[in-house]
Amino acid sequence: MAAVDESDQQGYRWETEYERTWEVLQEDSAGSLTSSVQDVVQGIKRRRLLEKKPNLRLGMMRHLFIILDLSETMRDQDLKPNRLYCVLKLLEKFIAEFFDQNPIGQLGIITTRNKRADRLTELAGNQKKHIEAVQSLKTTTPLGEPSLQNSLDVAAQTLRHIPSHASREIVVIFGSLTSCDPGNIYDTTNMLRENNVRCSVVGLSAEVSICKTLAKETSGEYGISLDESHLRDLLMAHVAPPPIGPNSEYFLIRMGFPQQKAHERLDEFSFCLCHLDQPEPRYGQPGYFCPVCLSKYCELPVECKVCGLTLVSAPHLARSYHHLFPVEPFEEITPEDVSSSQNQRCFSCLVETHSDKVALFKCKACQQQFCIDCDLFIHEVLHSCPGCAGNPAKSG
Amino acid sequence: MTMVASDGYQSIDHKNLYSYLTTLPSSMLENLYKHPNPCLCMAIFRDLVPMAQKFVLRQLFIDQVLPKSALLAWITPDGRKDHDDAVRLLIELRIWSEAPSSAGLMGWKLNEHFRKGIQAVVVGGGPSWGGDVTPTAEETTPVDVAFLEKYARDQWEHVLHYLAGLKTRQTASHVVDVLATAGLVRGGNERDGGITQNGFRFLLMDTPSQVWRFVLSYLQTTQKWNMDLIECISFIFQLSFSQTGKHYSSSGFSDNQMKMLQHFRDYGLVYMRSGKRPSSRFYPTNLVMNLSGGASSTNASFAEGYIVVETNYRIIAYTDSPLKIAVVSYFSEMLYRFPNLAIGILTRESIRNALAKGITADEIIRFLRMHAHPQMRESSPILPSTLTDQIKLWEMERARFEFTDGVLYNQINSVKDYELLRNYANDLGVNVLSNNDKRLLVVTTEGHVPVRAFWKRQKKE
Amino acid sequence: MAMTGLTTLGSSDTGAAGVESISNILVVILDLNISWWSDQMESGAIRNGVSSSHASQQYSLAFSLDQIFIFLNSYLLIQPNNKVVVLGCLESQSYFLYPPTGDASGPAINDSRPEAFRMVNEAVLNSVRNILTRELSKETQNSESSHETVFIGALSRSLCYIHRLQREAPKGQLVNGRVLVIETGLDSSSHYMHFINTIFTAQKMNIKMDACVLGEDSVLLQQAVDLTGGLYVKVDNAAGIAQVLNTVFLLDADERSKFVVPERVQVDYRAACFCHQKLVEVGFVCSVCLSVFCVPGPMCTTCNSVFKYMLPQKQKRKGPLTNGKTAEVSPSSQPAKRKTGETQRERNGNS
Repeated sequence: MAAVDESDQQGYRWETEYERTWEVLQEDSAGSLTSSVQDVVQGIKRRRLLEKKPNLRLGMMRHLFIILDLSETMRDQDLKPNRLYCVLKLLEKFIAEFFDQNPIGQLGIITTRNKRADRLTELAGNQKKHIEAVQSLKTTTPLGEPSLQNSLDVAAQTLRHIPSHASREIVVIFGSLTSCDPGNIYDTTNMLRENNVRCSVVGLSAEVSICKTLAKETSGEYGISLDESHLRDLLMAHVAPPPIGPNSEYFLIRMGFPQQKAHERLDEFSFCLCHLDQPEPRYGQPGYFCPVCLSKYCELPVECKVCGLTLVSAPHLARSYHHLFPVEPFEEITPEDVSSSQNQRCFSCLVETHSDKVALFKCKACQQQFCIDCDLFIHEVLHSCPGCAGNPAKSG
Repeated sequence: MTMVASDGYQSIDHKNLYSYLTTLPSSMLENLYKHPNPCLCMAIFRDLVPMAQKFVLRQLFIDQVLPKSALLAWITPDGRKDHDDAVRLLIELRIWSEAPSSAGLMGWKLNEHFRKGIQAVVVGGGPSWGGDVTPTAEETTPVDVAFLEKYARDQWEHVLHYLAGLKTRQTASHVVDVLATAGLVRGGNERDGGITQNGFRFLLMDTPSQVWRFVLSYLQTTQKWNMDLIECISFIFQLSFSQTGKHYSSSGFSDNQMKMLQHFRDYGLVYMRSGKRPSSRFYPTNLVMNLSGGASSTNASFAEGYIVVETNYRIIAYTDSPLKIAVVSYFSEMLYRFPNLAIGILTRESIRNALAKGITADEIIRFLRMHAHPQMRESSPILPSTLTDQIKLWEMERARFEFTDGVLYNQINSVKDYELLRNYANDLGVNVLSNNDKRLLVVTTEGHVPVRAFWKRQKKE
Repeated sequence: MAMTGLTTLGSSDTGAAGVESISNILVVILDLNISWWSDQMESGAIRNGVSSSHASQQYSLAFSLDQIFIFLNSYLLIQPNNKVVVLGCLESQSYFLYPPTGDASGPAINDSRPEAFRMVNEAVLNSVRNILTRELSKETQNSESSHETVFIGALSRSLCYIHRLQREAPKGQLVNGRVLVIETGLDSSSHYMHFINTIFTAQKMNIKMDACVLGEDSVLLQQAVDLTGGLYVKVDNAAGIAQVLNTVFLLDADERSKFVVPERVQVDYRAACFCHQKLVEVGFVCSVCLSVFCVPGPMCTTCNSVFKYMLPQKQKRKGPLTNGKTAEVSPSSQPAKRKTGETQRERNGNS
């Protein structure tokens, strides 16, 4: 075996002492479990929030390849109805979330099947194409053995040419326990590490040593799913931008912010460049004009085919700001701190809480109280504290 | 002018107020709009289709006639169909009338009284409706909302008990009268009137629709009792816009209104404390408040669901009320009864019995869905699709045959005669069936006479 | 024939995925900017020939509030399931006017409005009265009570409130939310990030944002309306606001395709550079923190990352590279100018 890591020294799970999970739930005087169940539920909700670590340097412009295992093991029915279907469903949601959180990122999908690797979609920023491609996979039968090395090579071929200011990532969804490779896979691992490609693996079966090494060497993450919701959590963890590796360099990228012209005068009608090759090119529709070469495009973000300028709109960039300036976690108010005469309302949704049952959370900056549902909503969806939002002291 | 016609049932759930009002003469509608109490205008307005509502609101503060072309300019081509429906509706309700605009083009004029009514509601400033809360005299034991709901439910169930033939209590004669007018029981004068086909369907409807139907037939029976229809209608609507749990003073009400209050007490629409002297305070219950809401009150029934339907066609009703069990037994075969629940099974025979009684498959399915246990609501669709499909299939089984009366022409000897007859029947359009091999021809009874005359003429030649 | 009948049987049963009833929520955010309203009142008084001392401080606002009440009552009248929530924003504070949180006591008027409507109207009126009296009586009312309006706090609170109503709705009820902002003052662009986060949340929750602007055009609201698919109307005369509100903003989502609505506004989506706050068409974006600069510099001022070198635009099109090194290396601004010069020349050469 390779060098034993610290995590290996903990031993296997069956060797550790057993946990007394029944002691977590406690009955109250009336014999009901509601309050302790509520505590557990709240604890789970909060845990997700607290796990996020604020990090200033994140890789915003992401180029991510998804490598999907289409081998025999994906026919297994431990995830309903079978692994492949389950993974494809989650993948659609992943793609939608990915482009929602990283509007200027790009995604590509590679499948591996029968000891070969195929490119399903190229690296592109158009989410419809990816989702359609994933949906078309629903009818394919998983077959044969996967080839990890081949698929990593295919991905690396494209990722090598990406400028180094952007993050290069691979996420492998691996369901098999074996891999059939033409050469030495450690060479591929080394090549990926040198090229600053961050590989993460999501396993569906059991821990595989080569995946573990791959993830560790390239500073990625390796997680193995227990069930469907855990798989979803593992997959969605990759939607958020990863921290930038120590070797990356920072660049200034020239980008254009095109204006949209809604109605064109009859003598100014033009074709758009995105649909030019299609059988029915679009003529005279409103579109965005590149500020440098004035070519028209229907949707943003896009890379101008004529002058190579990346065209985005300000909200696209703004969508990623919340990763960089996240809301500070709120601190919990214990019931003893709150006097009974104080107003027990949540600041944003006006729900009245009785402090002995449900905890309230306070924002350190604006000192306003929030209930737990608003706390989750603010941190996961809204990304800005309503109390601080209007405050002139906190601008930006 | 009874509402027993079959189309009355389709219109029950949706434009019930509208279909009733269009049967009234136009003078009566005018008087209704003129009533100082604008609640009727409000109720009618709420019942309009959304596009008609927007038209009225836009015209509310414009005094002039709205030219038809201007109205069309408000609509995109997508909305054209809705526009036509809305215009037709507004004309039928006499809210809009055609009039020439100042420019001479034809346009729409908003009914002045209706306009004033809606303005009073939306802007305010007019006289208040009555039904004020008298703040000084407080109840010694205030009545809370839960009690009112329970009271309303109990009273209403007594009415339904009578309808279902379960004798629990003496029922007042006016209740029987109203039920008879609605065509829900047979033989209005006898106390033992049996339930009719429509009565079965009535029992399967949801409570707000039942109350609506009942109130509408009540309004028709008031004419029999010589009560002023307009006053009754406006009183009902005034009640329907009151607030939950608040009590209102009945001092100053006319005789008619006091009589109506007593009646409504028996139906569970209002609550009054019984005692030696008649109380001057009454509480409207949620049943009457749902009148103006139409179908908005399905929320209340969510929590009351008591039926669990399984995929093996078993129905489990978690109730001990004989009325509910009786209703479920209309279309299912009861198997077991326990203190807190009853189990039945949907079989072909039981459904066919129900269909024979006149209940449609849609009504059964709607009933089951309406009263589905909250646990059932977790799954989507609420009822198993196998069940709903099977019930509909059993209904479709009965429709396999279509009967047409006719007259048979047989023993036509020559082919030419046969073809002549057949073509003549085709031309008249009365040919029901023609068999070329056996030379049989069936024509409708109406068509028989001309065909026979034709044949006689032919024979002569 | 029986088989086709069966397929339609199944589909008609499921309905709209178990939606039994629909409840509509309209959140109205009122801008209570005192200086704007008092200016409005003075200019209105001059126009109407009334002496301004005759009118109280709240004269003009009260009149417009009445108009807004007409709109609210019309909305409540349309469907019994419609609910209204009103917030007010003043001096970067936001208040819930209905349902009232603070002091909402005041004279109760009994008139021809139904009780439900009256409750809403009176709560809003009394809350506004109490808030304004409190605000005006403050000794420290500085003369620079600006014309700026900050509605972002009210907006995020209203989204949380709609989220709460969606959580608390019984199963099978669909809650549709809509936000209408009635703005009088000028935008302040200092909270752009909070603002854009809130707009994206509204987009995700399928909440349309409408705007009715009484003063100057508001770029923030135009962007919000454009991103969420709402309607934007600028009203010149605040006295006639009821008719505008009733005509345009009562329409719900499906009706907006059937009625003729105000045109989609041209929104300026150019980014403002972080160094000068001026709008740029072509800018330089830091790869780490995505801040926009109009002129390239050696370091990003927001995240303090030092740039190795500028990225020439056509880098991706050249042959395979190793680790992003290029032939041209220079951090100064000169190469950038040369680049644009080159591309211009190339373009001229090609055309």
